[in-house]
Amino acid sequence: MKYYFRFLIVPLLLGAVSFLLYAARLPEVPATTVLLNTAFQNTHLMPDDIPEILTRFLPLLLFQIFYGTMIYRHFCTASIYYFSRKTKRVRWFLPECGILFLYALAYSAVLLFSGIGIVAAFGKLRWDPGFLPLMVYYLLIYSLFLFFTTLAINILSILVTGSAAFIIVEAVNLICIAVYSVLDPVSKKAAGYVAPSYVTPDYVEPNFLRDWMWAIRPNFIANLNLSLHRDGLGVPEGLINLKDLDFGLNGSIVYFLVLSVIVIVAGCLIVTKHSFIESNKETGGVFS
Amino acid sequence: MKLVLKDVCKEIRKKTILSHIDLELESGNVYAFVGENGSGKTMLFRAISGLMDLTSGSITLDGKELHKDFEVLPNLGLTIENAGLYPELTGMENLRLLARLNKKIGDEEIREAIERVGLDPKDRRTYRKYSLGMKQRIVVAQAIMEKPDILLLDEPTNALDEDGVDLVRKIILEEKERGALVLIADHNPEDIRLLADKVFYISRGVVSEEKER
Repeated sequence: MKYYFRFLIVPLLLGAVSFLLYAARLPEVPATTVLLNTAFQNTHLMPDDIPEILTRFLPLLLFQIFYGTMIYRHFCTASIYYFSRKTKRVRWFLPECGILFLYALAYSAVLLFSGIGIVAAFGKLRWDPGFLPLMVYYLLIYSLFLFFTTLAINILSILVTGSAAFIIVEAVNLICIAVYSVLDPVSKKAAGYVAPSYVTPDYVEPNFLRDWMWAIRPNFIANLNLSLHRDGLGVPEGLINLKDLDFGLNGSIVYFLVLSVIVIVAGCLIVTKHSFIESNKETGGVFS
Repeated sequence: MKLVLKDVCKEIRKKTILSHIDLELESGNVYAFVGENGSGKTMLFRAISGLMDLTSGSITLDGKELHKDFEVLPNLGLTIENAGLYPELTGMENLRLLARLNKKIGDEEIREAIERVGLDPKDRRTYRKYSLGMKQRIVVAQAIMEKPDILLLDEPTNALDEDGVDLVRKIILEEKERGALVLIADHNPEDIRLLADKVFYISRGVVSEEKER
């Protein structure tokens, strides 16, 4: 397990680098702003924001790469010797899931607090009242997302090899990113909206996204963008509920929790039923 | 301890791999399975260990049935041809990781097993950097380290030099003396006859018995 501890350096560096310039630029940065910046803030469901979305997604992708073989590696070259010692595989699998979740939680926390640490060290950090409850939501939503997607890679790897499993899960993530980044123009086009050539300062653009909750609710990226969510939690206006949608934070937790349970149950079945007919030549190592 | 195989059959994609195998095997004996590559020796060992399910038939250990009373045979030592260990770990780390699963033995027993196969427990090289012969030796070490009741050795002398072959033969006899039930698979009948109490031939998944010594 120590082997996987070393990868927590990744969120430490990424969190720090992303706020190094930001910290010195502003006179005072609320902790909530740091948190929301880590959580897909400034991505507005438009194609122009794809680079920003991909940048924000990078730390999550790296977690899926580094921990995508944590459980699967035991099904690789040494699987025969490992599982000939395990009389009940489910009893082994569930604690492994627990460890993976703890790594996901630690990874999300390190990503957030390295950014906060940099702002505190090189800029001026302000602890605002909305931060603490929002942090709890952030940790739960992000660790559940990292957990179930990475567990899915581990489980699918048993069926279709490591690289194929990674491609499948990342394809789903990319579809989510693609759908997320066109929702604003597509919703407008579907409603037949044509932007006026001249707008007065008090003109409010109609909100067509409310009719597209069926596409927003299941989208992983939309659930990860805390600024899209409704619950205020004392967070200052203009930082959260940016699109005025009926999109609760609790709903995102329940959604990722349900997906996690589905992947765990599927994992229990696959791990138990797996027959070691052929020797798996994959090493299960991250870089090998 | 008595291991009984009753009408064991295994089909994979409609191809018969193991065909109606009946065996009664008792501890304190060495049983050898001789057959050409692809004859079904490895599959038979995978089936006996419990790592592969059966199409039909049953395997019981002292009356308790595999896949019903336990998922894999308890207290089993195993080597399977072409199955390796964790490439990024040293020999000692590999065996420590495997030993931690059942917590029956500590570092001292692991070191003893590594020395028994003629390797150095303090060797800092990773498994990836081992020679083929060293890989085979460390795999044998993991099989014997927990003093198993049943030992399944699939081609245990593969890639070994003459000294290594002698060492593995000596270990097999020591394990038999200890009271273990030892099953060896090999494609070379001459090698195996020296050690075995009973030799079985396996061809296209069918097991036939050679007369008892």
